[in-house]
Amino acid sequence: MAELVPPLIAELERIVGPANVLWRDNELISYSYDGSIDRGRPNAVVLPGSAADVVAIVKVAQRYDLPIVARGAGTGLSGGAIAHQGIMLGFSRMRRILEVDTDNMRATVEPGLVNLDLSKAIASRGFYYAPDPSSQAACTLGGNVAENSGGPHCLAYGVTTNHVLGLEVVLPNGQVMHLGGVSMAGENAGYDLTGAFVGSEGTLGIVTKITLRLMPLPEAVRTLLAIFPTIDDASRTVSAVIAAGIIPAALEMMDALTIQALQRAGHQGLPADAGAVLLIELEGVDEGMAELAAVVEGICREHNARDVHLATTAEERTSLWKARKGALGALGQLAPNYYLQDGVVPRTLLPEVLQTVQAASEKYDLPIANVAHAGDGNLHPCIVFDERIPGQTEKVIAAGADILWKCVQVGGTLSGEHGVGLEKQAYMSWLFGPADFAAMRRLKRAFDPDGRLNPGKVFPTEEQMAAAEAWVQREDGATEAPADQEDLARQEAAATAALAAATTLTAKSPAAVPVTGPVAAPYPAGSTGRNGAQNGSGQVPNA
Amino acid sequence: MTAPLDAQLCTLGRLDVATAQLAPLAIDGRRPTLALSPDSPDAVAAAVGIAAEHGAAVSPYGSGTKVGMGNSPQRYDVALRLHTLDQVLEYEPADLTVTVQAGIRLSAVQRRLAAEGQFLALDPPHAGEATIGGILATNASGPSRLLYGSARDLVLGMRFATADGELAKTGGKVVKNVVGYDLNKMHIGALGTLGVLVEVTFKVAPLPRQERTLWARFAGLAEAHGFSGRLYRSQLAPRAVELLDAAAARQCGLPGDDPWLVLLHAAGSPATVARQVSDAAQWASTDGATGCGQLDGDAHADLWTAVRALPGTSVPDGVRLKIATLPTEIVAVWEVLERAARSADATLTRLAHAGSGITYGLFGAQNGHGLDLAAAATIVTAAQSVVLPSGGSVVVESCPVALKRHLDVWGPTRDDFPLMQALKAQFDPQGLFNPGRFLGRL
Repeated sequence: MAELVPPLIAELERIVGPANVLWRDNELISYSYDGSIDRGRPNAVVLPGSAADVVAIVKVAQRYDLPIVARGAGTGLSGGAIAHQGIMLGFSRMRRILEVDTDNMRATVEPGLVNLDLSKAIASRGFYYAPDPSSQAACTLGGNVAENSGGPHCLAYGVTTNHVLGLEVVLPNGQVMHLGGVSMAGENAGYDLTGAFVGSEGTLGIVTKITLRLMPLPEAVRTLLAIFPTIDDASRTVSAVIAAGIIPAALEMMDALTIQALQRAGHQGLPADAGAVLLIELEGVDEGMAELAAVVEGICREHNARDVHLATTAEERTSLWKARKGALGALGQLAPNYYLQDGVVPRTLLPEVLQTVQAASEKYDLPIANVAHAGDGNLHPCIVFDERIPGQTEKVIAAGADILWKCVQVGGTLSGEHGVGLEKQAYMSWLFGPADFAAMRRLKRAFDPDGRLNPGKVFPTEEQMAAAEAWVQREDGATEAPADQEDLARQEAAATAALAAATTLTAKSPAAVPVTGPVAAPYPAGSTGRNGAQNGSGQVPNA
Repeated sequence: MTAPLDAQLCTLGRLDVATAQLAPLAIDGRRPTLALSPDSPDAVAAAVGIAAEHGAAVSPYGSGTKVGMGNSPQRYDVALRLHTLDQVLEYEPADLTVTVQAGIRLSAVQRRLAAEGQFLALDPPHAGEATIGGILATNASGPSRLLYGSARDLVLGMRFATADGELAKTGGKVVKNVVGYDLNKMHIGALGTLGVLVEVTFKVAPLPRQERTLWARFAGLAEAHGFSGRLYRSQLAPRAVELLDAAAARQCGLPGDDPWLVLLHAAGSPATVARQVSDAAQWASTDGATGCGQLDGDAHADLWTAVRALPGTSVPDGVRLKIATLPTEIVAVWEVLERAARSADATLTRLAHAGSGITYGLFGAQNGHGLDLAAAATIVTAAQSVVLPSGGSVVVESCPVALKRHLDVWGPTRDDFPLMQALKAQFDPQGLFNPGRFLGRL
């Protein structure tokens, strides 16, 4: 890599001022990681204050032929905001709410605005922004756009892409463009570039303005905690609720290991001896709510729920959500490292896939905690481990690959909301073939012909694809020729080593996240308010 | 020397070359050279690849219900008829997802889903004949988009034929997925100019247990619009809120004695529906409604069938506009449309998906002889003058073919047009998919 050239820094400083260009080693440390497992350092971090700044910075990058990586709060879970060189754009200064138009149920914001801050700012007017990643107290809306972030309440209301009406973006050549229309997304004349952009993981353009759809706060909320003897009972309940034609606002699952971790982290609200719990939230008008809650409770009990508890106060509800949203942070209590996955499967197959997770846990002798946006079929198996133990990291990769391969085999996908980034590239070829990648590359070239934006993300390399393919071959070999055990073991070890080399699972020590930290009230006292647990740390995992 | 185009294509499915068979497939009066009904998705891709080798322009063709949309084709060699790709490929009711072929009619999908108490929450015009591929290519939607969103919110994955004759996929079959670029959105509303859709996976919804209509009549447009806003901004989460003028009301079989009508489509559990309707009735009276009533059962169903169909009403030699604005601008837009109709001596029918900011304006001639071109052009210009400055769009969905020589039916391009050109160049480098029919003659 080229030596850092002082003239570059000087040029950047002329655009945003010296205080907003970080390039010394100690300044770059906090920009060298996100919520995932990879690490990397850009040449410089620049904090633009406006779209005009972004344009100027992008043009400098073009002149120096440097990559550009945009970063929000660094809560991402797939390495999307990791830069190994080039200029990182940090959006902490661009966090204004530019316009709130409740008559038309929309708001226009800058990309550095924290997700929850928007809902807080408009709650008194009876509206909120629906997508609610668990990191919503820290993650930015620009990051949400890049990753097409989800969250528990996306079951009923859709993920980020369903709420983005329009975008102002800066292209890698410095052109500023306005994507989308004024009424609803996709209603501009021409192609729906907004839709193609959301979820592109920083590889198509730099967002400088976002117009979002707002929703009226629900009149009534019912939050149920259903306690099950086994995770199998809980996951069958999920399918049964959906099959009964009920789409709750949220339908979340936590297993025994997660509950134990939460207790160790100081959260006492969940039963220590449960096999799994479901957190079910129903929203709507008052009328019919009690009836609906009773139906859901009935389905839970038919599936062996030993107790179904209705949160009766706002405090109780908040406490339950604090547990759910703090779950991943709490898992950091169990071991020094974790590897969080994000596969999605058809909802009816949740029980079957969770058995695979259990099997992987046993096969590799690794504890795996399960948190899930179960109503969406979006699993978050979290493999806890200690990278200092020799061979553990390889086992984690193998267990992870077993689980992801199962998700793919049953017709699911690798990631529901965390993105591909650096972390899941290797497995992309399990889902997509050459023609599919070619189509994606065409989109990429239309926006970023020089490949300047967030290079090395999303698309797998030949080596990565080969390693992922070899992993699957190993599986086939195991079923076809079970005779020679030694040979199999060698094959397995070789495939695992190749996969380890092709993926970026160098272990991460999660920041200990105090789940008992202060709770932000996203809605004013006396409103129907609901979730919004806030973690104390800036590094909030977003499962 | 390669074989002639027709000789190569005839192995892929039924090939029509006779004028009598090609005439009904004409787009703006232009007939294709030949029409192929490919046997399979693979045959669609192969046909596209062969057409590309010959430099032949291809237009995907479903039921032809929206064939008048878009600019006139610059070339039209092969009509790729997809009506034989009409299968439901996968349907697991408990997963609330369905995968269908692009040539299937929406009505057939709905019948299949209804048997399991579910539906696809798309209710565009031409509900009986329109195919899934055509609905997606034109991003057709209807009143229910208020609650359920439009096609972009319901499509989970797609397979499509690319310009180089391959099948590619995007998205997947599960309800949440961020792996790879979302090319679904790119194809929706692209009028088949980036590829040919062959297969689509949707998320579906449970049918509401109960439905009912509340209608309210108003003497003033502002009052009617204000009432509609109170409904769609409320916590009642109605399925649809529609604003109709008297002509639209009459066309939907409602008495047109008061000039403005608001329709609430209540849906959900019986208790929810009762609450939606009772709140709405109370607000109607405080907001100055001159009449208010409810419909259920067949009367409710028939009304919404008519409301959904209205924006697809044929206006022979007239002009049909689809206008997207901020919901609060609807009154200003409707007033301009009225003045434009008067100065063009045209009849006018207006309907709005009020909460989504979508207005349909249908202009016909008083004398039944069709609008003259100058009058038609005046109408489009008037609508653009009120809508474009604030960032909205005016699409001429139907107009005399002659008018298309003088304007881009999609309206002017905006600052994002270079990206659209780049996208088109990437996905269709030879310009063979529906050439010239899209925005900016893409």
